[in-house]
Amino acid sequence: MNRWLLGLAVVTLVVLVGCSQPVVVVNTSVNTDAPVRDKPYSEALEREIEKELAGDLAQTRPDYLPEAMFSLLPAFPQDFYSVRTLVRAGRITDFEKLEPEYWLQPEFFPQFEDIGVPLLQNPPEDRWGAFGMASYPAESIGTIAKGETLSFYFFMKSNYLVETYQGVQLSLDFPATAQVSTGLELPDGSKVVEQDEVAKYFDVRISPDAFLLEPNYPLFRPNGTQKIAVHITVKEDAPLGNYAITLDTTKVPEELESLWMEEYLTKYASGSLTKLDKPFFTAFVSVAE
Amino acid sequence: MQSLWILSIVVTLLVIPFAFADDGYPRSIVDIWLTASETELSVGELFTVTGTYWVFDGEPSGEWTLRLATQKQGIPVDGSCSPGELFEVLEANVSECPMCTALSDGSVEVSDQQRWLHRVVWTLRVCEDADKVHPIKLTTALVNKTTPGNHWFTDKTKTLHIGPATSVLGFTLTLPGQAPTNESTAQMVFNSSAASAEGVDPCVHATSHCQSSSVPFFVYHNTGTETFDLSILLDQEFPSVFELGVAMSYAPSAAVTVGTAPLFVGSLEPGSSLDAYFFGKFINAYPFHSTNRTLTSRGVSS
Repeated sequence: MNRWLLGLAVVTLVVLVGCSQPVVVVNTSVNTDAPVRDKPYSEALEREIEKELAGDLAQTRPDYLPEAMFSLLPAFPQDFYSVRTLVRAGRITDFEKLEPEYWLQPEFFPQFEDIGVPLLQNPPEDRWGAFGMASYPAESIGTIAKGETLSFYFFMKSNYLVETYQGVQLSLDFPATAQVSTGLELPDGSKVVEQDEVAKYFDVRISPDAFLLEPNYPLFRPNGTQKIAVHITVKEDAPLGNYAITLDTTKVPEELESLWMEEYLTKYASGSLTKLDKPFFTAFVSVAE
Repeated sequence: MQSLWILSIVVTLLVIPFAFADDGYPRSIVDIWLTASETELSVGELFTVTGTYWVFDGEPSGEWTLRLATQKQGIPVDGSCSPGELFEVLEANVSECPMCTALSDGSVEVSDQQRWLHRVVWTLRVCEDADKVHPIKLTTALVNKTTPGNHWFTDKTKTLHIGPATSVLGFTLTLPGQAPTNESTAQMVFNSSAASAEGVDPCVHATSHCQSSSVPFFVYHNTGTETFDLSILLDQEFPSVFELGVAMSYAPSAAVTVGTAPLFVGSLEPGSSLDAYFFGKFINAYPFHSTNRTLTSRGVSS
């Protein structure tokens, strides 16, 4: 290393000492196949350079809604869109570890930019949102060994424009038939589950199974979205195969209904009054050895 | 005379804008930029890919076509979703490429002779098999029209991630007026000053916000990814002195009576909304009496 440095110093010295005239810079042309520029630089290229130089690589929320709407939420993570991409591509699947600063952002839910933003940018002036919630993902697929426990996570939120506090009670079901969505399939390649009296093979724990969704309008609220864990334990006597376990909203128990109504009075709405027949969440479980 | 030292540095630049086959030509397209409207996609989703091509020299001259390709699969990104294919081309828009002709198989014939920036916008649909490949690197190929095996792939790629079909279930139901106050709540109320009356409009409880010909009582918004059929039902029948009717327009005579069996109201596609008008019919009702029922709306995946 030192010999190289010494050599370099010697060459440099020789050049300096040897030059008694100004150094002539000779432009040498190098023959490549690259095109010669005959028009202004690309604007896109210039923009990218400016962005890089400004250190403006942090991911920020576009200016499509008033900033105050998001003021109660955690700060928008600088890597939000990267994380969201990996979640949607199925490469981040451990929702247990996913921090609330990601899933509380409304952009975490698909369709926000397509449906939510236009609705919120032009809210009806003579109407108000009384009921409505959404779940994501609405289905998940997992493989589990007998005697083991597998945990699924999904998110439920108070939907766009809704201004009421909605009480939610989740209930469990083992439907006779269930089908995975287009584009998905079970580990064995099938798409449909048919089952009968299979509840006895599973212990399922939902946390939380009852909760209040605060309104996400006109401000997005930290309690406007809930992460729900579904812990499924397969008993040793369960036959191998595919099963479907669904979670849906059901009537809120009287004591909770009274409690929440006392607190939120006329702004309380029972979340079970308007619902979809398709459950808010379906766990497809493939039981293996 | 002092000697002049000239330090000569020879630099060899190797530029390989193309990863091409070994028969030597054409070298015409020397650079390419691919941009995609989205890089995170799901099966069935449409997206666009814009290819900007710098055609440098005298070729191609009608002998070659531009095609989208995937790095692993090679050429087959064409006008269909055959088994194993990842994308299908729905359209190749060449409006910004005056010397280009879009062909029916999703490729683009280029006949330009000089240096030129061409822009082609492809509209693609994600095929079902695409979610088995992570990630997908989309690129461009230059294919000889008469000898398709004679082709070049650009080394510029766009990386796409195809995730599982994103299933979101969601809806919003709006009522007339403003958000509830301390005196009002989200209830539909019918009042009549006569013992018998038809086509009575409901109001939000304790407010003057009522249904009218231009104000439906319910507006449903489907904010999810699935189309669903909407139906409504009561928890129990009304006494014989009252009937609840529903219609999709302000037409009391067209209203259908709501009961305890689900009554189909209409279909709701993702992003769409549906109006529902309600009408009360009082039939020899008793004065100063009231009754309550719970009206449930249900969406069934269709």
